[in-house]
Amino acid sequence: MSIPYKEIRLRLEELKSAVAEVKGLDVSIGYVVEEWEEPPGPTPFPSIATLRRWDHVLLNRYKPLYLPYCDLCCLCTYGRCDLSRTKRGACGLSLSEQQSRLVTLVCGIGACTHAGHARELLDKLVERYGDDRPIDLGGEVYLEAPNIRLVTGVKPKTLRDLKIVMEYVEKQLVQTMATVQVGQEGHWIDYEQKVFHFGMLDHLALEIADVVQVAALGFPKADPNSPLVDLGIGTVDTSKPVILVIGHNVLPSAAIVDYLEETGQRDKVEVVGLCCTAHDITRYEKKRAKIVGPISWQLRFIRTGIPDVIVIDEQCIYTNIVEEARKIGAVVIATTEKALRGLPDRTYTSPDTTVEELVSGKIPGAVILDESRLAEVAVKAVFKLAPLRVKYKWSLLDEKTIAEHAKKCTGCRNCERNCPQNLPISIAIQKASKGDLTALKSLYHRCFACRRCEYVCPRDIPILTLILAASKDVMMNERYRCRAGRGPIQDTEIRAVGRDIVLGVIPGVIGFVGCANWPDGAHDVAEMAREFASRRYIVTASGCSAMAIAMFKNEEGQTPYEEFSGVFEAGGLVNVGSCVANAHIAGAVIKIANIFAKLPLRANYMEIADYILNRIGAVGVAWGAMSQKAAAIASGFWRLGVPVIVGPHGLKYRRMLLGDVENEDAWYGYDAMTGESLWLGPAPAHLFYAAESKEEAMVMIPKLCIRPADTPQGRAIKLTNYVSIYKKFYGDDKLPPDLHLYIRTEADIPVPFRDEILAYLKEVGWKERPVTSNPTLLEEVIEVYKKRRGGA
Amino acid sequence: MAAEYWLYGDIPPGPIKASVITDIKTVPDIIKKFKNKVFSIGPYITKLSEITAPDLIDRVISLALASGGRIATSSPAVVKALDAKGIKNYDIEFLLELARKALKRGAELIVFVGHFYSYEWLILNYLKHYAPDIKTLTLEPYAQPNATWTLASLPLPIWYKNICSLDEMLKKGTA
Repeated sequence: MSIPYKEIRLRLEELKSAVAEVKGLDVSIGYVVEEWEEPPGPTPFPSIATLRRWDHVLLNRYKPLYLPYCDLCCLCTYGRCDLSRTKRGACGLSLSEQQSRLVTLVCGIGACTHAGHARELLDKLVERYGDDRPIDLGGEVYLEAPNIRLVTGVKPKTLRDLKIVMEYVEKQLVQTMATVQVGQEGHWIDYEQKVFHFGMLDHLALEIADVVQVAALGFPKADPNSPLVDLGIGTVDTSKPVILVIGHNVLPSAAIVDYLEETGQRDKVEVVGLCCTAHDITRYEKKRAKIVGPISWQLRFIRTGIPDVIVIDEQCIYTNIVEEARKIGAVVIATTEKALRGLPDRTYTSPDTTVEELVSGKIPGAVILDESRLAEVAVKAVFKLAPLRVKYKWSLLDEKTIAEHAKKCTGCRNCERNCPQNLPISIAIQKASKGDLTALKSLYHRCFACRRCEYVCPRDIPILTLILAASKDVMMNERYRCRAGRGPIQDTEIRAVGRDIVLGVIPGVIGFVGCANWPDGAHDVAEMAREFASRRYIVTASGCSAMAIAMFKNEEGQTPYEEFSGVFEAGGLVNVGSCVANAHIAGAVIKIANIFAKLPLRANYMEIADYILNRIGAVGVAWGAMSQKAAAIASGFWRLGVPVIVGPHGLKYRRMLLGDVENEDAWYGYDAMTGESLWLGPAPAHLFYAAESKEEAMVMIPKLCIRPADTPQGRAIKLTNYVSIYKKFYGDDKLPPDLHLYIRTEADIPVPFRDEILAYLKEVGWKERPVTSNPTLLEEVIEVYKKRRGGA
Repeated sequence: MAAEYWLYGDIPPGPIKASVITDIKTVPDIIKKFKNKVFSIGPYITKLSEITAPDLIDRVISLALASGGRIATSSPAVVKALDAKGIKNYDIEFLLELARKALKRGAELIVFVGHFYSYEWLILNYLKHYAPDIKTLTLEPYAQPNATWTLASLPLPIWYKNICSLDEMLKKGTA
């Protein structure tokens, strides 16, 4: 344990001395964690090794499969060391250990990034609203901050209470990051254990960040009917000056909106966002601010020439953005110390002077770290720049110029070979040289505008610009509606569905999360979300994936957010918000264990995670996972017992956590009531899995929602989905080859396929298996059950 | 083509690099050397088919059958084509699971075609380091530096022609 209590609290009801008589004295120094009704749990403020036993249970079941992205190590001056096959580096690390070390590093970067974000929000909002600002997340949210309660044992009531949690997170991040130093940790399993620790810390940071902004900034509070907001390039009114905000930290954007309101100019300026700042500015302003699109829309939008002023905050911003802005005569304002982009600091310069420097082109942008000043500069600059920049708006190349550029192509295919998506660029360019732009246009949805094709083109063809120019009408028609991020899930919603989720009657909770590195475009995410919402799964979404889901319309012209309800219910589609709002998806799962199953929450991590792994059919899908932050978010879900599926690019995270379905011994656990050792089955089969195709992911999703505790009715519903999706892709006469492993008794057999499955079971020599409603992997849980039965 | 085939590559390999096959005629000899073979056809084959030739899937199935290997695929289009031909002896299997199980199942050679480039790159690197007894051969239009043997990166029309030639050669060899 690593309890960071540094407070001293002295309470005296009455003190009489020769010097004085004191009554009701209450002196506090430092933080005080308020007591709550629940008794303290076993693992408050866990340090690295506190939950090691649980981590090892998981890692012995879901063993890493390492997929090295680099066979060498070059992290110290002993090296470079060749770690191929059975070789070890000069420090003694093997290839597997090096991979797990790198995964630790990746997740550490992600967790530190979220923690840095949380710290900045917390400090600034405490400064603005005071320590005593209550954490009010909505009338139906009585169990606020379930991640914080579960991990630390703190029940936060005000922003002050978050400080102690933030400090704990930061201390643990430092301790855990130190393990990556050469000669520190040396075994794969304990590196992986640290990955889990980073993940858990990451979820705390996410929760702090979103709780503080929901509590302080007037975001929707667990509102299933949060407003629908405009999304897409086509929704931007280009007749007005345009301020584009990019990143994840909403405070600079909020300051711009506030300034516009205060000066009565809000109707005269478009404030549009990209990536998570876009989610959060629409949560802040509701209805008026617009979402341009996910992270991969950055260069697309900038190259349309539409934005006049680009305000960047932190995370996932194209690092070469100043150069891109310059090409269209726009300026960049950097607003956090974490992303200064080489720009001159004008924090303390008079706003009018800075505006003059920007508009005259004397400086390409500026660093302004004071929010009210940057708001003033951004607004004043946009009014002056917009009239000067009219020629840039929608200034994409015409067909003739596209063809002229395309004619320079020699067909060397450098572009294709360097395209992360393997797009058939060369063929498209050659067709364009003959005036046929259809192939070029068809690349638009699959290209995520990384520009690598342009960097390697020996003829300097502006390939991305050509793709965008050929797709101008597509971009102009990007007009969608996205539900503004609602934040947490209400306790009442959990009460309504908790039972059905645990019994399996609601077949699962799916979280579509993460970045925009989709292998085949945004459309796939929307298709998956629609498919599972239609099948009455509870579908949640966040970040760029939540935007991708909006970028689709059904036959009636509705986006999924208009088609499905925003309630956390079977068939609902819930946008929780930005990346940091992922904490609410994890939080919902934790709440099910606490509210429905009445398990103690306070610092009771292992029991709750064991419960989630064995009973709550939840799965995360990060189809376009790209960043280190996404890895950290995933690792937080792993420790909590929630499997995660990523797209094909996700294999680049270097290791998967796969169950060995064919190894019968790997799937034993216990009946928590009787203590009996039982075969629980491969449920869930994997903890971290990269699917190569959308179809593979869609087969894997219902499979990974299967849990040992499913009732026969619940299991039959889950298998109905598994089998029917499998048949949809592979044919009506097919059954999943591992189906027999998920049928415990005949009562588990889905009715629509009963005869076919019975014949199959006979063929494979299937035998009945025991069913338990109280599965666990932990002997400690058996003891806990005994004590509870005994009334202890 | 560059002096070294991976110079045009997305991701450079580690110190252990594939042998590049510059003459398609050598491929049948490689395939014939192994008894326990798996022929893995990936979902990307449909995209390759769209930009090369409509009969690509049929060609690949034909050469897979002629190679004498067990066909494993996760592509619905390939499954549909196999079913249409009345072929029963194949497995619907995801590449990640196939790779993990390959060693246990005693596979000697895995032939890859139609997979997502970077996904296959990493799967091959797993096999290269952790299952070195399994040999790998890639028949993709782009070189895969972590395979045991790989075709060189070639323009798609030439690659398609090679696939057709290989099909013919294998058919003749097994006839």
